Amino acid sequence: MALSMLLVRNSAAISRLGMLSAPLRSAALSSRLAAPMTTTAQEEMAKFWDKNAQRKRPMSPHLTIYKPQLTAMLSITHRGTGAAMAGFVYAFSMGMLVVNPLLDWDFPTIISFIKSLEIHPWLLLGGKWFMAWPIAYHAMNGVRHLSWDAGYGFNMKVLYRSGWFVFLSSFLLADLMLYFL
Amino acid sequence: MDNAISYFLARVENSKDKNTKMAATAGILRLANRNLLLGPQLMTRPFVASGLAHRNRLQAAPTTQFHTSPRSLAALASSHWNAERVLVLGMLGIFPLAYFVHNPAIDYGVAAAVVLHGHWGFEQILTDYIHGPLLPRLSKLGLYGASVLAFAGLCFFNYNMITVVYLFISRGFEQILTDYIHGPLLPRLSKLGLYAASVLAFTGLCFFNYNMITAVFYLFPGDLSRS
Repeated sequence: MALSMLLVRNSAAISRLGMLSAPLRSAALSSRLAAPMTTTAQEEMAKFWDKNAQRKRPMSPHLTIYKPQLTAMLSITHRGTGAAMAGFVYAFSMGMLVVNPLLDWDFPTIISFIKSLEIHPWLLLGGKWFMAWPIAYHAMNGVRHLSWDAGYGFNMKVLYRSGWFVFLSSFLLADLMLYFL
Repeated sequence: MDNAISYFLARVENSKDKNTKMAATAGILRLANRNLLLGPQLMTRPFVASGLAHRNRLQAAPTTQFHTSPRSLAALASSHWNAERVLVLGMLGIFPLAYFVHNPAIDYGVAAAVVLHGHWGFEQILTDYIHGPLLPRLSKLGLYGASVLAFAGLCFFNYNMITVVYLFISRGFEQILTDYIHGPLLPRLSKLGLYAASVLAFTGLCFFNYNMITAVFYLFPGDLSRS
C-alpha cells in the first residue's frame, strides 16, 4: 500500500528516472536492451487520433488552464507573424494574378490608389510599422530558433534573457526599419 | 522483488538524513521502472512483434523502444529539416542583399525563398492542428495549389523565359508529390491538381509588365509618402 502510494505520487519522477536507470545510452540502443517497433511514428500518431476520435473523447483543457509563459507566448507569436506575413504574400500574389488580366491593375496603379485615399501621414506610418514589426520579430526569433538548432541557449536563464531581448529589440528594429528603409 | 522493495521502503521511512532517503527512493524507483512500468508496454503489438516478449528470464527487459521507418522515408524527413535550416540561413543573407542590389536573379531568389519558406511553415501548421483521415490531405493539396499560384504571381517573365521556369517549377512539385503522397488514388488526383495549378501558373506568368519583387521592397521605404 505504501509502495503504491509512493509510486503514484512520484510517477513523473519515476518515468524520468527510468531513462537514467538504463545503462549508458549506447548500451541501451544495443539489441539486448532496445526494441525496434514495427509501426512508424506516423502510424502511431494516426492511431492515437483515430482511437480518441472514435471513442468521442473530449480534449483535455490546455489553453484555458496553462499559465501563459514567455516561452510559449513568443513561440505562438513567431508562428502567428509567420503565418500572417506568408498569408499576406500569398493573397497579394494570387490577387495580382487575378486583377491584372481582369482589371489591368499593376503595382503602380495600386500605389496611386492608396495615395488617392489621402490617408493621414501618421496613420500611414502606423500602418507601415504594423507591417515592419512582424518581419523584425519573426527574423530575430528565427535567429533564436537557429541557435537552438545548433544546440545553444536552452539554459533557463539564457532562454528567458534571449526571449526578452528578442521581444524588446524587435520593436527597436521595426522603428529602425521605418526610419531608414 | 517484494523483499527488495520492502527493504528499500523501510530504509526510506527510517532514514535520518536526506541522502540516504534519496538513495533508497532511487533504489525503489529503479526496481519499479524495471518491473512495473514495463508491464503495460509488454502487451503492445509492436513489442510482441519484436520477439523480445518471449525472452528467457535471464535476459533483461528492454528499457527503450524506438521507431524505425523504411530508410528512404527517414532520410527524407531529416533532410527536409536540414533543407529548412539551409533556406532560412540563405534568406538571412538574401534579404538585406536584395535591398541594395537590384537584379532579376536576386528578385526571383527572394520570391522563391519567401514562397518556399511560407509553404513549409504552413505545412507545419496544418500538420499540427488538422487531424483525421481526409482533412489533412485535402488541406495539403490546397496548400500546394496556393503555393504554386503564389509563386506564379510573384514572378515576372517575358514570353521566352516563361517556358524554362514553368518546366522547372512543374517538374519540382511533381517530384515532391511522388515523394510524399502514396496510395492507389491520391497520387493521381494530386498530379491532376498539380497540372491544373501549373497551367494556371503558366497563364499567370504571361501577363505581367512590372517586376513584382522590387515593387514589394518599395512598400517599405517612404514611397507612399513621397510624391
